[in-house]
Amino acid sequence: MSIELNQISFCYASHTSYGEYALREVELFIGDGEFVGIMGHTGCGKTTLAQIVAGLLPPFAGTVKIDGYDINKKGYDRKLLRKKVGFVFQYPEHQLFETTVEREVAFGLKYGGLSWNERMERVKDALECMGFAFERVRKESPMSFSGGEKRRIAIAGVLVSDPDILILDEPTAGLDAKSRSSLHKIIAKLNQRGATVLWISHDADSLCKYADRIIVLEKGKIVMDGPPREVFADQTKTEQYQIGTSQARVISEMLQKRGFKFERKPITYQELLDDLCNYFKKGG
Amino acid sequence: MGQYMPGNSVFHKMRGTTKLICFFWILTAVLLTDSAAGFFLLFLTAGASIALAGIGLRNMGKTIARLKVFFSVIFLMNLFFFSPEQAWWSCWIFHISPAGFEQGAGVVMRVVFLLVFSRILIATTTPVELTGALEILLLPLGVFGISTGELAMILSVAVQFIPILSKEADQIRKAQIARGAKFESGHLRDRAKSVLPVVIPVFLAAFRRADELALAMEARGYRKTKAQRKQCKFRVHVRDVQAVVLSCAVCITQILL
Amino acid sequence: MKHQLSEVKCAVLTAASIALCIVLPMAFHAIPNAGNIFLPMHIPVLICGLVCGWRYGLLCGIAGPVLSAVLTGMPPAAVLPGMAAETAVFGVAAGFMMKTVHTKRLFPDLYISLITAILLGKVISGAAKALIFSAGQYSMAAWVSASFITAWPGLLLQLALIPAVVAALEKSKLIPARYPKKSGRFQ
Repeated sequence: MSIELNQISFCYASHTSYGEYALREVELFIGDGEFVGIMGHTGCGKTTLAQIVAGLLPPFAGTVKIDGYDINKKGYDRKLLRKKVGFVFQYPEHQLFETTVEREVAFGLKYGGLSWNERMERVKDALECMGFAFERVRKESPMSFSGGEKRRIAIAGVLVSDPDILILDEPTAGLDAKSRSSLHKIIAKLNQRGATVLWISHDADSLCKYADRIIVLEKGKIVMDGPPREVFADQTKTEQYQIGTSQARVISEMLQKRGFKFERKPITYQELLDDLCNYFKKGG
Repeated sequence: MGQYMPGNSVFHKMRGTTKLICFFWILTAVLLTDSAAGFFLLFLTAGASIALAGIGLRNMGKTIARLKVFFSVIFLMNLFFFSPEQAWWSCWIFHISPAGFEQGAGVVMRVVFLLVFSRILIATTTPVELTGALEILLLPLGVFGISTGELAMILSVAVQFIPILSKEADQIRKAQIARGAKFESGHLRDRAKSVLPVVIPVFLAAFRRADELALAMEARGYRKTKAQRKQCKFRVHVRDVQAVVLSCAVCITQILL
Repeated sequence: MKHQLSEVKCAVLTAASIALCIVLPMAFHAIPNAGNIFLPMHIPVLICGLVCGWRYGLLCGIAGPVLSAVLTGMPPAAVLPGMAAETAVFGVAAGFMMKTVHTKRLFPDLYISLITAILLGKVISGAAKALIFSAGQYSMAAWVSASFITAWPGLLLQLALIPAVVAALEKSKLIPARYPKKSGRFQ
């Protein structure tokens, strides 16, 4: 499932005098199975971009092609689009509405033409993927769970249609460390199984660890696009675009100022650890 | 928000409450109008108001033109179905009668005038002024146990909640669309089924925010104030009195006509 | 652990309901024709009355449509008085019925209160409209039946929707349970 954006522009309130361009002539190609992190200061257009890719916002100008097909062209099967692209919004637990967990998660399969049993199979897979025991939770009300659990139920509701493209808008906001890392692992696993992942986040640490590629947006334009190591190499740029940098990188910079010499610029904890071990093995 | 048009006319300078009171007098006048002379008086009042408010006639015309289908239907319905007696022309269940013509014309004109006057009101009064005026007019509710302070708080919180809840509703709607809810196409029944996944989360979001706000307010010591006389910083201008008296006069004249 | 809705909370909930009187119709405008059929402005008023009581229901019923007309121009001024009268009665009746009817179960309470409130609202506003707009030309029966005939899908939707919303609110502990029962769920 490749994604191609051609000259995409988007403007809010375009018909009034105070319309603003959220995206300007954005060009982007994301290949099948990539894990892409999207970063940028608040208001730079990340969410707008993601919604345009998912077909939730029609672009002002330009085309969006998924697997080569223009999704905004008349005649494109929107039902298929909804199945292929899974979108996890911020605080997804706020979209829960059903009376039981099984019905909530099964909502995404409503118009798929599957029988009840077939749907329950998929629901079971999705819930187990998110760490639930299907039989124990299926008849419970989604509202009676804790915040973190509700979020996992909501994400299961997105995964149930087995999307090829998964877009997540800050999915770990407000989660504790353990929940955060377990969600990362689940998404990484889905990526390994072949899903293309677009992950909007402010968390440089996790993106360094899991993303193949990071795109940085500023004021509606893509200003950086490359593997994490490249993107976080230049500290002046990361400060300018307000994307921060990974903790490991910060530590390595601090150590370098005090005389430690590193061969490469480590960006994850594991790399830092390995580099430090090597450093000490060589005698410092 | 709304169709406020900034300007410097007499109406713009009047306070919101006065305009609202005048509006109600004129509203009653419009509803009571029954004769040709009455409509003529309304026409004069409307013309004078439009001129005083500085609103272009074209603008007004556009608003009215938008509803031309509605007007035609009402007029024709009255024309054909109103009264089978004294008909000029009859055919099966259709009877064109002078009474029908009058009734149809009357209803249409009344609605047109209502539109014109409410347009003038909204165009010359900012939403802030209007909510303030609304608050004063809801004062009688104090009788039922809602104090003025509480009322003011409720209205201002409501106005603040609107953009917040609007954004939430939009996000929820998009999230459900992404999961396959059908809003854009399909049978009405499908679209009806898609209402629940939006309405329930929207209410949950609204009540959640209300909960947080109430907690924050209570934590800061907010208590329901007893019904108290509002600090009236009313400086009544001559023009306010004139306006109210005039509108009142129009209304009374209508009763007589 | 039974906790009542405090005054402050009621007031803020009413404010949220008034806001929803404006937000819901706007959200429904994205769906063609939905506004007339689903009558989205009635829903927050009824819920406010059911949850907060008749005083707040009344306030929401009046302030909601009026504020909406003021800020967004919908409903148009010609329709406003009739609609506001209707929603005002909705709010009062819903609140009053919830105070008087106690069937020991939530859903029957809700249905009885809702149906009564809607019936009363339609009848009273129908009478008012008949008196004001046609000065006795059309019979009251015509007005009342007209409003029921055109609006029945919306009424059905409200009857299906509103109890679901109230149940969800109770389940999420955003409003106190009307009939609290010992929870059997152990985590």
